[in-house]
Amino acid sequence: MSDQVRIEIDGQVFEAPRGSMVMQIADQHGIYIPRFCYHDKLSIAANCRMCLVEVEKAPKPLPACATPVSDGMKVYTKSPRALAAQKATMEFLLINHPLDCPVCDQGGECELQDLALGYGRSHSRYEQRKRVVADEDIGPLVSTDMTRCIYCSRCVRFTAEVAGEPELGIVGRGEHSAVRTALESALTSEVSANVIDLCPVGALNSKPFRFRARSWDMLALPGLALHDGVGSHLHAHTLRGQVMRVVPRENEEINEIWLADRDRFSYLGLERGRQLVPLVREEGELRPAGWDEALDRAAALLAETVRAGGPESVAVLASPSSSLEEGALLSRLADRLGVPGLDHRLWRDSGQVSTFPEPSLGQSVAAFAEPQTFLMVGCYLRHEAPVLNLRVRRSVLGGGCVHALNPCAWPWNYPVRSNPALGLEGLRSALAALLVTAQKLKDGPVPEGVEIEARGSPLDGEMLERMARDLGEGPATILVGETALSHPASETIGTLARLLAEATGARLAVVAPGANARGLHRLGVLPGGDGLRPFTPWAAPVRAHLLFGVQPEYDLLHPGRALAALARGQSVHVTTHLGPQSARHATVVLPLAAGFETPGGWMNLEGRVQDAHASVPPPGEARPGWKILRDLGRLLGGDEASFPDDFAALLELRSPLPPPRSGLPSTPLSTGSVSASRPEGFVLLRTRAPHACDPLLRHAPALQETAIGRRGATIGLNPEDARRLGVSAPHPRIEIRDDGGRRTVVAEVTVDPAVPRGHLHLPVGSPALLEVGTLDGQVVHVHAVADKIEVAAP
Amino acid sequence: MNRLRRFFKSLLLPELFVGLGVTLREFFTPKVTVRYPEETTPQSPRFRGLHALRRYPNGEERCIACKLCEAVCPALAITIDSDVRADGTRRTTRYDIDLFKCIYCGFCEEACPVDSIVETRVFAFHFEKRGQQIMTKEKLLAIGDAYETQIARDRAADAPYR
Repeated sequence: MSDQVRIEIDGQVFEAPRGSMVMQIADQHGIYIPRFCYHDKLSIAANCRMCLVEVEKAPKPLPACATPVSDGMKVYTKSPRALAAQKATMEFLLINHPLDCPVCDQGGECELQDLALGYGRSHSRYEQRKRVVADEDIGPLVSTDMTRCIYCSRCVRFTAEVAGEPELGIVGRGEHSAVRTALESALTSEVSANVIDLCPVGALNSKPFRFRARSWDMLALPGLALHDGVGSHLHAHTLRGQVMRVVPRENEEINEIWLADRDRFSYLGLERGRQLVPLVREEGELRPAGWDEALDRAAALLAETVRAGGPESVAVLASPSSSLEEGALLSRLADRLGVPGLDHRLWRDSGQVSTFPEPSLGQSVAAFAEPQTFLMVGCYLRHEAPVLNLRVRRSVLGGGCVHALNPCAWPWNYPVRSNPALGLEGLRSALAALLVTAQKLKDGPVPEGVEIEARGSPLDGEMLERMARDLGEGPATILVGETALSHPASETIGTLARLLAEATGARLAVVAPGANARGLHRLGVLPGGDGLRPFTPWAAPVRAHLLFGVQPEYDLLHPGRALAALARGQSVHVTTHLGPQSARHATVVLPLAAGFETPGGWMNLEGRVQDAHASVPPPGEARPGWKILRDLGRLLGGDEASFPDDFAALLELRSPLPPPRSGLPSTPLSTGSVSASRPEGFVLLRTRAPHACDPLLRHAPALQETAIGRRGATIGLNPEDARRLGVSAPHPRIEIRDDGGRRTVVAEVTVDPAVPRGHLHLPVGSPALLEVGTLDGQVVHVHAVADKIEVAAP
Repeated sequence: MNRLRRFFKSLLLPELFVGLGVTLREFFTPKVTVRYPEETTPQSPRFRGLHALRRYPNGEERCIACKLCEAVCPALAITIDSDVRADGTRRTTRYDIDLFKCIYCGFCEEACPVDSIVETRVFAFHFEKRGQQIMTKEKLLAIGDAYETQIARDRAADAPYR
């Protein structure tokens, strides 16, 4: 029996693989069959009945989406019988549909509206009252008008199959059916807003966009998502120079048709809290200034600091989401000044030389969906690269497996084989122990020092052996994420990860934060231009800072040191949003155009260079970063004067991109200094809050109100610790004192079983936790605060 | 013979008397000239003059910000911003008609699903300063309030033909 069958659709004969559905074959050959519930990326439900077609010898019309092809089958999609069935279905669907198209945001892009034009009757024959379904608040991102729902179940299938959090379901039967959340709660998934695109009618729509514009009003301008290294494609829908909403742009190789919530709603930050005019400090006060004055002042500040204190006295820090052009101009600027202190890796904690290779995925984004073994090392991919995580989920469902070595036992949206909560120190020793196990399994030599590192590993041998075996068998990828990159002992972890990849033959993927970490790495936006020298931006002799696209109080994992350094020295802030502490310390502030306002190229983690045009003009007097850096370079005596105002001329700056660097430092392992005894108090575990990890996201109110956003504004505490401390609901708060006992701050707590005992999980980036973030040191002491009466820990 | 006739015709100017005859006849026929502004010509109930935004009898504005008038306007004279009002309904926050752009085609009125934007019988209006030609939402609602009786009567008269 061959795998191909011959079928006839509307008189045309096609070869089709056995087992495929009539709808799929028709779609492939451009024969349109109306549908509501069928969707390429979801399972087949066949519950809308809109795709009924006539099949020869079948007694009744059959749903094309759920009818497998068979040899010699003859299908008629436009015969009188098929059309009659489709029109009857449409009449049924419209019985309870409110037909409130003029006030519905879906109007103009509604599948029901489109099909009603072709298949609907001009007048309703239904004279009874239409039914009404009560709405439910499912969070700040998705608005509901459930009366409009036609029960196609696409949203239900999306949450269960793609997002991996079955939060929506259809309850009731017949007239009483309704799409509801399971527990009358909001959607919590990091990709939940994709149900907006999937909904064929206006039942689920974008809440921040509600009633703001009509689909035909807006220009759909292609753009890129700049909040992670995946480089998802999107369309910015703009109206009169304003981004009204963002929808995904289909690209099978990257984001398919999905978009993370933060990529979809970050545009809300474009118009809130923006820096609109240049500022300069005069007699202790910041005052508005013209561009020429502010640029002169900034250039003079940098040049004079270098002249007085040498090149080491200036540090340049750039956002990891800066474009390639901005990166190229930044490294030229640093070269011109002779300044070696240049970096984009805001997450780096230690001043040591990084032992991680260039950020990359080691494969294409699409390859992540293939069955393989993943080891997440300090990587919560769900929040760090949500769209990439959807691919991993597909891999797991298709036979792959995932092991996680994370400080916290993060909840994954797919089954993971192991997910211990290791704590900060445990991550390092567990990784070393895994390397030892992997080498022992294949009787390889254990590198010197690894055994000592592995001491005190919290994992048992059985689990380690399973991990090592899974990694060694078949294709495998070790993903190194943010917690590993920002770990206090990241050099050791980098070396261990590389050794582990060598030992098991696995690919090493370094999932660095930011939209352009790989491109900036390539362009040499690194200390000394090659990253091979230690660099501490917040310590002497640095006396002046140039911060490009950085909000130091929120974007850095340890803002305390940074703010102290800024208070001591002088600083130029090129920024979209000026934070409150920066406003206190900045010498010059230059308003910067944000993501949707800047043209440029970005290299995603798989190495793909993608260009985007500006969708909207920057507000106020803000300018795109490349113009600011070009003018600064010009004032510092560079040849940037030869660049015309034409952006295209800058493309030569980045092409060709330098090849990847080779030769990485390897930190000697184990000094024997790993102490077995745990210090008293709680270990602060800092990660970037997923919905507040750059200035744009931080100023998007809807994102802050989501479950992820609210969690990112509170401290995570293990339930047992909470009980021991006497932290109680509903708004539990704790008092945190740093190790020296110099400062005390109070913060709200979320009791989170994922957090290991003895740790406080501190999401960095939310203004609510700024005070906690500025605490020095890794170890803190904690008391519960109950109803404003402080209770000492027992 | 012809030459003789032409000679007398040119000498006695009979065409002059023919013309005077027309003048005399017209002098006694009824006059069609209207002495505007004391007098006006009759208007059709479908007359398309100055725009107005209507309200429901309970005082609620009709407009639901569907933006169909903005979409259909061939002169791009209408600009609308919309948002959620405090009570959760869809409303305009700005409804501008540029009367310099408007060509009084009446498409906006045709497109309106709630009979909110209408063209009234008012056609005699002027502007003294630039900017006054922009009819804002407040101005349009005020016109609607002032002429509601007539607007309603005209819609009722035209209803059988719709």
